[in-house]
Amino acid sequence: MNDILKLTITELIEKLKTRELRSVDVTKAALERIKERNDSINAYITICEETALKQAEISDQKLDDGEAGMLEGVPLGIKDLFCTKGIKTTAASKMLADFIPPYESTVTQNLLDEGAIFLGKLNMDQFAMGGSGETSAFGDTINPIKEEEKLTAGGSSSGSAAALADFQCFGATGSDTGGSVRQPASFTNTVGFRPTYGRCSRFGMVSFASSLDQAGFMARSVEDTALMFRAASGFDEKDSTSADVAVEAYDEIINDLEVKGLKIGLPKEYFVDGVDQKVKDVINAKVEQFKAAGAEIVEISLPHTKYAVPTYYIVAPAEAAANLSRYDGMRYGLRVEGENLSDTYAKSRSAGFGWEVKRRIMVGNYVLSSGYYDAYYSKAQKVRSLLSLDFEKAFEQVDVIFAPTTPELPFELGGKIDDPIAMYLCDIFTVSSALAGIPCISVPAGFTPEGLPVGLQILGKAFDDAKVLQAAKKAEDMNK
Amino acid sequence: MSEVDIKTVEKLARLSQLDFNEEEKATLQNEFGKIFDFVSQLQEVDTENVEGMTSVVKNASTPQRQDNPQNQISRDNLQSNAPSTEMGFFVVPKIMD
Repeated sequence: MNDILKLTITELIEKLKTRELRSVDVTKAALERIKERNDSINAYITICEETALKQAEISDQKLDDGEAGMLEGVPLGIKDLFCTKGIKTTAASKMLADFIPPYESTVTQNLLDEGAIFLGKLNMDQFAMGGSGETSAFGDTINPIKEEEKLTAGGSSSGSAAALADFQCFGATGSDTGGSVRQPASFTNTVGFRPTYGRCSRFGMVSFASSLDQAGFMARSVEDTALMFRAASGFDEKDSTSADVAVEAYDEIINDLEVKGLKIGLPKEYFVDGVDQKVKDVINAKVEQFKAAGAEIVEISLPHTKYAVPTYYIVAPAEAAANLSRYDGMRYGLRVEGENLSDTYAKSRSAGFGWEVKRRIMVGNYVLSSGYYDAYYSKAQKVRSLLSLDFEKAFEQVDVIFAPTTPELPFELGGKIDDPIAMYLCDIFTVSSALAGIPCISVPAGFTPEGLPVGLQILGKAFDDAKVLQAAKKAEDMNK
Repeated sequence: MSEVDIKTVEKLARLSQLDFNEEEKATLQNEFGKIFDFVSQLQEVDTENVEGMTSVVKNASTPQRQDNPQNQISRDNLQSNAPSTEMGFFVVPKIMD
């Protein structure tokens, strides 16, 4: 492998600016790596060789002309649920297998405006529903950390995480509805950031659960993640939940945090018996490092944590059932002709959606149907309020919260796919924050004795994105 | 275990516009039992006087923008993914017999 592929984005930008490297050469090297490795790892669904090289040429010209954007000439991978104009966008589903969006998502447009190059579209769990990459209609993604053991790279942003860990891109977009950038980051020793809900426009992202969906950013360093986030975020009138709050220069202020005096909350509900001891050991060691550097460690309680997964698995399917009703085979997407209109709808949807998607649509319609609405959907929305309140109270006491990203280590592909509850429980530490809409990140914290990565999760209050990134940068620095 | 009868599964399939064979229906019935056992934990939470949270955006208002015509995507482009079109219209199966 060409060593330039191991550079971080910030290192690459330096070398592009001094012309030590040219974007065309870097892009070619990345494309070569992808083509060499895609059969083994399956991180990409679509490779954009021609357009990427064309973009790189333009970037090199802009760099020469002194017109470089924030990410000029940097090759990224894009999760295949961001609509990219003229480039197939499948959401890893047969339903959209041939869908070529006539428009660009706001997040990817913002990245393009800053000079980013798109290497291709990344594999994922179908419609972002899954935690292992296995619900993709285009095959499983293999975790490159221990390739021979066929472990999951996590999900739903499986391709994003695997491509980064395997040096097939310098940064990647993901999306996080209930943990979909943080859990894959934890499983692949990469950084995965979920911003405050509303920070990034959802326009042009294939919808799963609209009150939870948020663009996420993944990279091999916290600073890279901060830079991508800065480039992609901001108010967008095309998304009614977009927040009109000023974007900060997150990458430039990444070191502006004193660990001394930083109040770190450790929620007792996140360090319970069900958590793998090896995960706890790595996280506890990291907490000790912060303590030694002068941070104040405070035990806190988020009493409704236990109810986060059941709440999520009512709210998310309900919203999914509504969102995915648009796939009817009439205006776009798969159509399978039936005997009449209704039969065509059902045949198209049955052929287009995978099992997990169908199950969630069914669960969603159940909890929304009369007779069950109050007992399930309405109840879940109330518990969601309580989960959110837990965080509000906690942040009166502390600046940030530290926790494991997942209760367990990367598991074998096929290990949980037939047991929905076991799969859903993997999300136990990531869904509460998604339901509350607060910023959170998974940052590499270390390895188990067997060499499996463990992610530290850092959570902050709404719009405290900068502080979450800064604390993660400190955690990353302590790994050195 | 929470029981969901096969009639309910069939009704939901109709509402969801999805077809399932007998084996799939049985699998769903079984999975529904497990899932609803699991989510029923929520019943033990006291939510008296708690407002439901429908959005994380506090004091959410519906922002409005000027109603100016924009020509962002042409009809041809918009219809480029349609399974069937004719003279700029979407072609759909017969709705009434």
